[in-house]
Amino acid sequence: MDRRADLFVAVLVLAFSVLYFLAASKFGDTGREPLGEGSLPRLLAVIMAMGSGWVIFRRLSTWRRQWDHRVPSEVEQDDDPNYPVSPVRPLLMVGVALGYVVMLPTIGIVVSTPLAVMVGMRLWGVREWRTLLPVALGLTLAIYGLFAGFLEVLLPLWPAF
Amino acid sequence: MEGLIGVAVSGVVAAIQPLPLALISLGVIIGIVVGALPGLSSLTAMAVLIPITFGMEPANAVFFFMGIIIGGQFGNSLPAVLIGTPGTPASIMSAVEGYEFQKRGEGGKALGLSLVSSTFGQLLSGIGFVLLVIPLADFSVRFLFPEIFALSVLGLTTAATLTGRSPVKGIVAAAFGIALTTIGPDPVTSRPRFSFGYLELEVGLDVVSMIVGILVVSELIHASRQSFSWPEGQRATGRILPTLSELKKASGPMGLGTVIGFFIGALPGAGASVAHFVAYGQAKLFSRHPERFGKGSMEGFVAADAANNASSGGELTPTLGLGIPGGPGMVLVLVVLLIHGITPGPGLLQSAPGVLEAAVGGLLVGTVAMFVFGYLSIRPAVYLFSVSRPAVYVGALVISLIGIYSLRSSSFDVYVSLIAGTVGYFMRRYGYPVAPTALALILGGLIEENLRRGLVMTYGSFAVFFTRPAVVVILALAGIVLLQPAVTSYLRKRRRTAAPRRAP
Repeated sequence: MDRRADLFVAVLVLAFSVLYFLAASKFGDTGREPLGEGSLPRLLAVIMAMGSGWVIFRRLSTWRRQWDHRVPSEVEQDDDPNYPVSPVRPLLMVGVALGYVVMLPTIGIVVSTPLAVMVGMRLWGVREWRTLLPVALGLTLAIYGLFAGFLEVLLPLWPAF
Repeated sequence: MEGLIGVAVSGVVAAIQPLPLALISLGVIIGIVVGALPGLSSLTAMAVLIPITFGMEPANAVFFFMGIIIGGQFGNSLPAVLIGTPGTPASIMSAVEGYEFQKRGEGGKALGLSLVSSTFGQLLSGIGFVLLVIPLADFSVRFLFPEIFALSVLGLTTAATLTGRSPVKGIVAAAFGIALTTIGPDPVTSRPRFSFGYLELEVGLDVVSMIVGILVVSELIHASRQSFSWPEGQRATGRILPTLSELKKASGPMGLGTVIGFFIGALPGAGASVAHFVAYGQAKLFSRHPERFGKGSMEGFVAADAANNASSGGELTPTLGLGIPGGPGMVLVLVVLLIHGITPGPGLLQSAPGVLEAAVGGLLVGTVAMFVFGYLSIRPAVYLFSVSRPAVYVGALVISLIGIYSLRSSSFDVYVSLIAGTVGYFMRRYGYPVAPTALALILGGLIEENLRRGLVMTYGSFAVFFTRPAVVVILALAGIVLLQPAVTSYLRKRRRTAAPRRAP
């Protein structure tokens, strides 16, 4: 894990805690109960600030000892060193999901679902149309059957124009 | 006692009649399928299917819903083990441990273990319900605000310190989750907080959307960085069910998980998620190999799974014994009973013995049905989830988003889920575990409400947290869980520094 990224995230968490604390400070006491509306949020802000402060301290206190900025990993699941994936790919996946959600009310699930599935699978490296098309259509049919048919959910099915 | 054993026998006899058996089986199948779909849960299926129960006898409706609840719990294990995506917080540790099995090519074996521990937990909790419903109902009434607060704190500290590699980051992640629950109406005064003038924020963020985002969407985004070394189209070959020696090793943690799951499930408000984490934490404390936890530990896996399932029997206790729902699924069971004009509570055995029989019979026969259908589903599920990984992950992402939309037909909820997923992805990338955040989303409101109401009851005196024995014991346990990583790390460092001194 790169400690510079770890430090940057910890600073972000610290900034969030400070803003959260300031926002919570605006809540006045109701006078009818010992702990007011802002007590727990303020306590949480202090806990987050202390935690992120500890991470910042730990990184900075050993800063001079390491030149390569690599520190023992603390992530739940490490990247596979034999499978270098651009960090852009997960962000593109978020983009596909966002596009899908934006398109859904306008063009309906029948059109937006196969589009999103095909673009998403292409991002994963699937190029063959004979795989993309059946999967996209099959998934759309399954989602239509499950949600609109079985669960009777009111979904925008077709384009609204 | 004899009366209750009679109820159990009559319940099982009633449950194996053709119509009840068909309803239980159908419920179990629906539960497994819906539980296996990311973003959906047995709760969704039950909410949608309530109108179908209008024309049923009350006992048949209970049989049907018990089947869905039981099937859903095993269904949740399928994506948790096979793609590392827990559908609910009550299957997070199944994902953490089970996914390690899948990476070793032992997904089928993990699901077999899950099936056995689930069956064990359900059956024993059903028997426990029959034997202990009356004393437990009395006991759970004595669990007031401070006890529920303490129990929620224990669940959260367990999740915070055991799920990531850095306990400090785990605690920050848990605090962040509680902070998210403070957006919206205050639990005591109902005045909006952190809404910044937005109507959507004034009513609060939908907890389910955030949990699906943090747990499911973040994992699906994160998965696009992974190579997956196991082969495409993997089949569950060979033995699925554990061998006798494996069962022997697993029996201790399974028993521990069952006891913890049953008793925590019996407490109104605590539920399966807390039981799941507490059982995992205790299994690690008692284990001879705590270093294997988080790397595919059979002990941790079966303890957490058994606890999750054993909570069903526990949850039935306050639901039917007191009329207080023991968990989210039980709320819908109560709704169905109330629709049919049946008021659960202490007089249920006299007023509607058929319903009590159906609950017990449904639980016991439903467990057997879950074992059969669960076993039959493992091989196809292993194959289906690995036949084309891009299709599975992209499909799961789309289904999750539609699932969120279907809950309230709200695009805002889907955006919330997507933002939560993106935040969760970055949390995973930088070592902040998402499990404590997800659990905190459930327990945050409970912690604040019980703490503040408890203090109102005592006119502001904190003494209530130090004078009630159960609160003291639970908070002490939370303290041990919280301090354990720091103490272990200190002792390890001391041993390491002492070793070179002794060497010459």
